[in-house]
Amino acid sequence: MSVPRLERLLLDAIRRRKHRSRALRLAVTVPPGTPAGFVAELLAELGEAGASELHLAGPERLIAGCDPDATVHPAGNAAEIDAAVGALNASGTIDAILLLPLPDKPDQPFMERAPELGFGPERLTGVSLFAPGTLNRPLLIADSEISDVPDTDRHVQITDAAAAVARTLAVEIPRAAVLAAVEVANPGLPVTVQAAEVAQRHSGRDGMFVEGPLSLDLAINPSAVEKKGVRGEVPGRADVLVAPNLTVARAVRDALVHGCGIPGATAIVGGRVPAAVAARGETARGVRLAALFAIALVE
Amino acid sequence: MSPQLPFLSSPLTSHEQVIDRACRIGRVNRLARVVVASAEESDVLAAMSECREAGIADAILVGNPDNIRAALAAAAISHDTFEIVPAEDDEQSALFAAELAGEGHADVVMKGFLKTSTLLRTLLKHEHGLRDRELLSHSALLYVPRYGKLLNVTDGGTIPAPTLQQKLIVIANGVRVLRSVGVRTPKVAVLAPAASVRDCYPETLAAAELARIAADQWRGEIEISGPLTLDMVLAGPRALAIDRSDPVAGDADILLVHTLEEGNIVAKTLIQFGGAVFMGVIAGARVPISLVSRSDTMLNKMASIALAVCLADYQRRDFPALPLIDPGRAEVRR
Repeated sequence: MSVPRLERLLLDAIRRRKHRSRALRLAVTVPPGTPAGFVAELLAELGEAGASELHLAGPERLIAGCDPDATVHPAGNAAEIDAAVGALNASGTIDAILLLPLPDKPDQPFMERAPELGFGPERLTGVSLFAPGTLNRPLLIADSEISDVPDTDRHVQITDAAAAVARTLAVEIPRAAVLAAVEVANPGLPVTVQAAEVAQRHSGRDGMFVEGPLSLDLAINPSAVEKKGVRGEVPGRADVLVAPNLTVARAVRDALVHGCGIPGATAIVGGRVPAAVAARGETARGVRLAALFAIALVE
Repeated sequence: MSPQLPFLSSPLTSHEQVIDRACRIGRVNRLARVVVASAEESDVLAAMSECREAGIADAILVGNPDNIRAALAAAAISHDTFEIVPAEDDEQSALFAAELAGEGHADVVMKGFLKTSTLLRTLLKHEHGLRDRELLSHSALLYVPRYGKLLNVTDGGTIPAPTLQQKLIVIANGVRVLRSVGVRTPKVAVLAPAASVRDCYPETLAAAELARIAADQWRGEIEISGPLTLDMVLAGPRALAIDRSDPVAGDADILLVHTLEEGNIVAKTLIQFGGAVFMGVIAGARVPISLVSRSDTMLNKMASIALAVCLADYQRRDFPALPLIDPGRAEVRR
């Protein structure tokens, strides 16, 4: 039910993008240990995703001959694969990257791979996208990939990056909720104080609303807002959830996917090109959504 | 009075079973009594009225009688439905509630229209005899339809950033909650941003240390694994195509979180988007403490009170408690 919602949202975003008329180049990392059948299935899915030029980096036996139109970059291990894609990224040969899960290193943080993949000192942000059936809008969660415990400055950047993604998805004026456990700033709960600072730093800025601290129910549920009598532009209407730290962002993402059955897609933005991060255990159809997300974010 | 209803021989797996169990406790033993401190809160009174109708619990209301009657009227409840104990202010309401519970006249203490800190501070004063553990902690027992069993997310309500020692007490309190619904040997997942120890995520180091100490000291009482990510906890390694054997991942009963925000936000995500039913209780005192929020649905409020009744029934029985661990005396391996 929700897969078509997210897919439709992403396809609509891609149709609106200026790059429609030119070739779009997607690099895919195919780590050793990826099942060959999955690679074939994925390539069939990616054929419909709108990437007109495909670069595959991985062990030759996995990628050679899979797609006669794809450019293959043989590489024996994960580091070599990342280096091959990094070289493409650095030379401006690609527009987006799709990172498949590493079967032998399922927990390797993106930041450990970033230099090899050609991501420099830019301020990167991991943004997860959902289209829950209970909301009539996209829902973005940040930062699920980069900063373990962001300070206020970093939180402001994360908020801005996620809002920029929301605009790409046709959210004209993004509404960002800086999450905490409660909606009142309280020195006993430092997260609430930082959330208030992030909101304060955005006050008076045009083009987005940022409010916090807000609990998750008050961020997205209008009836909770009504019952608690909370006022503002964001409560009950948030498109962007800014998590207090990486653990919370990942947990919300995982809760939505595995606890609520809502498909999602994650991408890292802020680099030269967007990089989609395919979730572990994801189907080829699900990985396609991640690829669509990265393609939708191409400048 | 010793309980006549036999204790559970198999785990309860849904909120409906928790409510049914509380009703059976009321029918076979006696109807549980909930003392509501500062009861001038129509939402709480409505929940108590529903619980009384359903046979889950009766209530004793403490507070300003005129204000309580006004709140009863606002909730369309007859003014003589519940016993009212007059109190002049919040401090006195909390004090009287503590005394009623301490003297055995109430099985559960419930927060009404007063600050949580006022209530907990009074309840923990030694003279009331309600202090049990050194630390109270909040359990959000969730029935998540896709998960298919009860999951205790703790602590998302009382301790902002628990220490290792505090987390061990949070686990012990959480185990007590799980055992009250029939889970004899709970499986505990320690949440972290990665499912293996990584220097860039200090939470993973803390989770591994905690899991090691708890597994050593509570062998046979619990199963524990950490660090684990939430996808591992909810889906298990096989669904994620991860080559790892873990008895807790995919089958956890307790999700131990690193900070209050993690617990609060994860629970609310599952409630708001996953149709999870919430049962909240504060454990660690000699009587359970029930807190319901104005924004909770009536079902969540009733299920929360039912869970407190089950926990009160469990605590009346002479089951051995999980021994507390002093991490300073446990071998620290780095």
